[in-house]
Amino acid sequence: MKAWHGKVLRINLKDQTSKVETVTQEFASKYLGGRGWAVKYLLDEMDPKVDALSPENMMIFATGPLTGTVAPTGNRYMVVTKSPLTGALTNSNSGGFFPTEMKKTGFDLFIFEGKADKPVYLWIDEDQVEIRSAEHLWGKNVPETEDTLLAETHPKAKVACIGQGGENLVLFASIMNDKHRAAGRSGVGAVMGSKNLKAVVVKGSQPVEIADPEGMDHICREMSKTVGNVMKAGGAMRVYGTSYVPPITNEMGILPTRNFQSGQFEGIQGITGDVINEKYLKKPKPCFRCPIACGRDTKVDDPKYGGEGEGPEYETIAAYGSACGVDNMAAIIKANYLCNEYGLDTISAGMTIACAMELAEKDYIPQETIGFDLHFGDPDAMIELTHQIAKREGFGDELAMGSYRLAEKYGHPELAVTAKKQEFPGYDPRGSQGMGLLYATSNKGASHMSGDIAYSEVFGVPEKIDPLSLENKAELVKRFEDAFTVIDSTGLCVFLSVRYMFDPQVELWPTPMSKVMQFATGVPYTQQTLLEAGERVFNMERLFLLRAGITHADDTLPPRMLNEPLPSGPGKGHVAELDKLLPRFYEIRGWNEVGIPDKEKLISLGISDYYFQ
Amino acid sequence: MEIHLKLFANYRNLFPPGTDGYQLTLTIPDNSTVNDVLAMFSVPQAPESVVLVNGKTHLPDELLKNGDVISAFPAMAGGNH
Repeated sequence: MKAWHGKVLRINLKDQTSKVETVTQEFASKYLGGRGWAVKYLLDEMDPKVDALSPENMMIFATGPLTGTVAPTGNRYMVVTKSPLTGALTNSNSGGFFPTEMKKTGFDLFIFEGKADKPVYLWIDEDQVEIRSAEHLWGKNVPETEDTLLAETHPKAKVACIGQGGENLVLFASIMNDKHRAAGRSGVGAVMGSKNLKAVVVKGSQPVEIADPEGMDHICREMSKTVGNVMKAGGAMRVYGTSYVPPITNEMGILPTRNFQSGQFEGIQGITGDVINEKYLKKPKPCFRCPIACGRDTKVDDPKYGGEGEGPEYETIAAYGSACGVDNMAAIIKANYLCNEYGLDTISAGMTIACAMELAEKDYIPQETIGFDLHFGDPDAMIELTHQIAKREGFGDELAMGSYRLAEKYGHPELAVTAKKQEFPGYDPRGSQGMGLLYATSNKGASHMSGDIAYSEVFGVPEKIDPLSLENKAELVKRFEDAFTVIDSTGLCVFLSVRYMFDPQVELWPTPMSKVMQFATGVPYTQQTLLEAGERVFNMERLFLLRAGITHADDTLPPRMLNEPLPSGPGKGHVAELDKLLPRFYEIRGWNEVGIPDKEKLISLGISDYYFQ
Repeated sequence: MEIHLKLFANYRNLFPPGTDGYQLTLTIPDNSTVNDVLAMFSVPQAPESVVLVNGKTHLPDELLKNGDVISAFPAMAGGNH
């Protein structure tokens, strides 16, 4: 087998045992790797109705066939598990250097089962697997944990771990690797915490074998050179990371402002990438083998918000900035640092605080419950609540359950801006209709990363389309979802894949991806078979959700999106027209009118055994 | 007529040195198009750039009106596939 090792490490945390399993070439090719393989394991082996924080939930770390290869941005892994936030299957993606090192241990996947009796960490040095006590690490934050682990294992090892957020089962806790990179969404850190698993430390030297090394080297070198030249010439992603986006979404009227009460923020001048570049940027920071380098190494010299770390990205600026009505970039960066140190998802954390601000301003939560006068635009309150969430102290204990459960508790679930109970990212679907359909149909709840049609609606990739139009949106969302499933499964980063692996002549298809996969794996993938594999995995996720009791009734958006028109900007007067898009989406997916995949569709995808009725 | 031009991200550097911020107000002849204005500052046309008029997707040969706001930024592909 090439590109895949074909080996899976299964760890039983209860018994403190591990065993090595192999997969067949047919399995490898059909389910692609990464997200695809992991979904197959979960669907086959786990009852989808289990409590996400119980020992019965399985958690899988999954690299893809291109992880650790010469493919530019081949540095990703995914954490796939049942989410405690959404109750659905989730896949949370991260880059940096841990995923490549994980692949070098000689395994494609780590499957975690059960729950350790006491805190442990895993130390995997090639084929030596040790489960060690982590009692001395419990209560430490992410940087302290990583430093301690490197000192007691190997200085060149790589670490993925949880901070206090995951230990305390915050429903949107992240798993951090390389200190600052996050498998951020859907509470994968809480699942890890529920297993008493503090960290996974890896070191290895197993090479990834390539079917056609010469062809692979050539195509990857060309791609790297092309992207690198664009970046060196002043490409926005190198100069700003994703922080160049706020003024653009603000101009389009889709920048979440004060918990999505508006799509335009009067404090926009304070939260642009130029503010970061002028005051806080030390240097761009790339992940392993990445010619883009969108990461931001930053430092804040400020008596109140001082610190050093990485970030912020656009999503963090939207959640902790405009959504909270805060235009103080130093405070936003401080909140980002805290989330990284505690291990919290910046999107759900910021958006949950924004929801609390609205509930408080409308007097739906008594001030004595919160402990102070909470309102939009207060950076200090935002910082204080971030501490409280991670520690599950005071009012933060209620915020730790996410905005949906918070708003529901106080009698106003309509003020939670979520899909499948996960907080929206930074694009208001009333002014970007495709994003609304995406949020509603994403298998992991509201997420731009499940098929980011903003690439077309906002950023002009592969071509600019009208974000307010409904034309062809169901078709495009399907194609983006399937393509993102492919990208996630291969182990590449969407930032490179979506921008540079497209052939504009064939719409939404990353043509060279099939060539790279051919050279790497030796499997004769074509455009069509690769995309079909993405569709296969997407449908398997859907079938997991259906078995978990999530239905078409959950393919929806909050009332604010469906009933309250945008008050200003280009989308003024528009609501999210989901009712006009969803039936068409089901139809082209080959699903019936209540969103259940037809038998014929599953037969065509080779997964009819999973038929659900 | 008077229009406003906003250049985002690294396009900001296309403004003349000394320009404060990312917005300029310009007086241009009637019957000007978006591309006429972009050409004044060597801003690449679509599809290399995303160009909006009043925040909305525009038609390439659309004539501008007094008070329009044109905004432009590089399409994410960086103009180079």
